[in-house]
Amino acid sequence: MNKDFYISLISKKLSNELNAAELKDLNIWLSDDKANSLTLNQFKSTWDLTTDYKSDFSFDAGTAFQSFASKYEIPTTHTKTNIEPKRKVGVKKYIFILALLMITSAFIGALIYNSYFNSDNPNQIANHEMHAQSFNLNDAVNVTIAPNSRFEKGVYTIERKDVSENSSSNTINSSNNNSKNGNSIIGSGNNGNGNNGVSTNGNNANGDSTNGNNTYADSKYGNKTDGIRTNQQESYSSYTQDLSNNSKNNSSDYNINDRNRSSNNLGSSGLTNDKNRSKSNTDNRRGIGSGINNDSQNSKHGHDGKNYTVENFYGQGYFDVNVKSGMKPAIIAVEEGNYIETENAIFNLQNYEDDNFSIIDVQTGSVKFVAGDNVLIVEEGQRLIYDETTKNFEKVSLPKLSPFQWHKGILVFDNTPLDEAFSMMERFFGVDIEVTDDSDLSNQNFTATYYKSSTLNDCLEILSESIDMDIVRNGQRNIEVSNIK
Amino acid sequence: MNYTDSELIEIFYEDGSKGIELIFKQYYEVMCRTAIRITKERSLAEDIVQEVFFELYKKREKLKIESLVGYLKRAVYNRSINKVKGRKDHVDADEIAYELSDNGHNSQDEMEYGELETFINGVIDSLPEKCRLVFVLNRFEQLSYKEVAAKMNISVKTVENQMSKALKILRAEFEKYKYLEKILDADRGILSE
Repeated sequence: MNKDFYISLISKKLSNELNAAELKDLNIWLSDDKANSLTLNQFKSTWDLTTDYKSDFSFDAGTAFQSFASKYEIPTTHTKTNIEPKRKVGVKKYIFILALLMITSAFIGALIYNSYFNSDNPNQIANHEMHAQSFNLNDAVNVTIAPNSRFEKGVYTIERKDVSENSSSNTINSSNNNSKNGNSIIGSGNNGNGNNGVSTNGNNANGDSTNGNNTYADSKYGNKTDGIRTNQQESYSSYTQDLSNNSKNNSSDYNINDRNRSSNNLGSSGLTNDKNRSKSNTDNRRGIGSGINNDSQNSKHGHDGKNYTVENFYGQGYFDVNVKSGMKPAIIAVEEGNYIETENAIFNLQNYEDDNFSIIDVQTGSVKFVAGDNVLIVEEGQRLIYDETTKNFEKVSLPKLSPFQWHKGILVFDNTPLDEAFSMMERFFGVDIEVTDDSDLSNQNFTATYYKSSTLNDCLEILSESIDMDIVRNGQRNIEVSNIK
Repeated sequence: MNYTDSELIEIFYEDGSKGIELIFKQYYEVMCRTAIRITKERSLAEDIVQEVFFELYKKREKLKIESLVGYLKRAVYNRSINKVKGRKDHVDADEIAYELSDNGHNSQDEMEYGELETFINGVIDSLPEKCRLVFVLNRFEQLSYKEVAAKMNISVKTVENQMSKALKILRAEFEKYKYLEKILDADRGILSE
C-alpha cells in the first residue's frame, strides 16, 4: 500500500469514517514504524488547527432583520411583547423569578463593585483581564474596540448609491476645502448664519477660513455626555475653534510629572510624539463614560453625522467593513473632520486622545483617509501614520508582528520601546504607570506575547523578569516603576 | 429568549410575519456562519441566508416543516453550494494540478501578519474549490462522506480523495509556516544581539 492510502485512512479517522477493517489496517501501519505515528500526529494537529475557520465573524440578527424586512416588505408592526409563544406555565411566575434574579444580581454586583473599586488592594485591578468589545453597527460594519476606547454611532444603515442627494442634506466636504491655514473646514447644512462661506449641499464645498482658526460651520450637531449623543436637534449657528489651543496634546489636562519618557519615533516614521508620560490627576485613559471633556469633544466635531457610521472615534478599533454593492461607502469619522471611507476593508485604527497622531493599519482591502486637503489611499498591508499637528503623514509596511492581534485578546510586544509598552498596558488595562525616578527608558525594549486571559499581573511579572525594575502598585490604578536598569 | 423549534413553527403558522422574525433572529447567525464557510464571502453569505428566510416566509402556507433547523441548513447548503459552483471564476479543482509552492497563497505574507489563525483561514480559502467545499462540509458541518457526496453530486470515492488532498495541502502549508516562523525567530534573535 502506498502512503496516499494511509493518508486517506488518516483523514477518514479524523472524520470518523473508518470502518473496522480500515481501522485495523491503520493500526498495523502505525505499529510498523514510529515515523507513521508522527505523521498521524502531524495530520491530527493540522486538523485541530482548522477548528476556528471563519469563526471570528459576528452577525447582528436584529439589524439584519430590519434590513431583511425592509427588502422583502415583511410587516413588522408588532412588538416583541405580543409575540410570546403560548406557555404552559404562567408568565407571572417567570416574571417573578426574573425580578428575583435581577435583584439578587444587582445586590451581588454592588458587592463586587464595592469590594473591587472601593478597596485599595492593588492586586485586584492587576488581575483584570484585557477585554475587547465587539459591536455590529449595521449590516456592513463590525468593530471591535480596545478597552478604554469610545465612539459614537452615526447612522445605522448604509444608504444606496442611487438615492439622489437632497440639497439640504449634510455631507462632509473633504478634499476640496480651502483653508488658508491648511486646516480643514467641515460644512454642513442648516447653517443659520451662513457666514463661513460653506456650501451645504454635497461634495464640493469650498469653505475659506482666513483667521487662522479651524472653522466649523455646523449648525446641527449633538451635545454629548460621556460620549453619548443626547440631543441631535440642538442647533448651533456656527462654532469657531482655535486649533492651536485644542490639540490633543493639551498639557493643561494633566499634572505633568516627567518621567523621562523617550520620544516616540514610531519606528522609521520620523514623526514624534512629544507627549510626556504623566501621572494624571484626571482620568487620562478617557474610557467610555470616564468623564470626557465635553467642550473639547464638541469642538472637535463639526458635522451632523448624517452619513457617518461611526463618529468621534477615540482609542483603538478593529473594523471589518463590507458594504454591499450599490450602497454608499461606510464612513468612520475620527476627529477634526478627518475620516476614513471604505467599502470593503479590514483595518485597525489607532486614534488615542493623548496622542497627536493617528495610525491606520489595513489588513485587507483598502481605505481612503481624508484629513483636510490630504486624501490618502491606504492599501492592504500598509500602515499610515498621520501627524495631526503638522499634518504630515507617512506610509510604511505593516509591522512584522500583527497589529491586529489585540482584537482577539492577544497583546504582542515585539522589541517594543519600554515607554510604548507602558502605554499599551495603561490603555489595555486601564491603569496609570508612572516612572517615579530618573530611570532611562530610552534603550529598553520589551518582547513578549500575552494570550487571552492574561492579566496585568501577568504582564508586569514577565516585564520585571525581562527588565530589571522595581514595580510598586499604589492604590487601585496607579503603578509606580523605578530603578529600571 | 430562545424558542423551541415546535414553538417557532406554531407561531410561524399562526402569523407568518411574527414567526419569521423570531426564526430569523434565532437562526440568522448560525446560518450565516454555515454560509460564510462555504462561500468565503460575508455579504454573499448574508444574502443567501436572507433568501432562504424569504423562501421560507413565502412558502409558509405550502410547507410542512418537521425540523426547522434541518430545513434551514439544507436550504443554506444547497444555495451556498450552487452559488459557489455558479461563480464565474469557479474551476473544477480536478482539472488543476495544485502546486504547493505556487498556489497563490503566500506564506511569507501571512507570516508578516504573524497570526496563525489568519494563516490557516487563508490556506483553507485557497484550497481548490471542490477540495475546499468537501473539506468544509465534512469538517465544519459534520456531514458524512456520503452526505457530502450527495450534496455535491459526486462519488464517495471523490470525497475521500478530496479530503486526503485537503489535509495534505494544509499539513504542508502548516509545516512551511512553522519553518518560516523559526527563521523569523532566528532573525529576531540576531537583531536583538
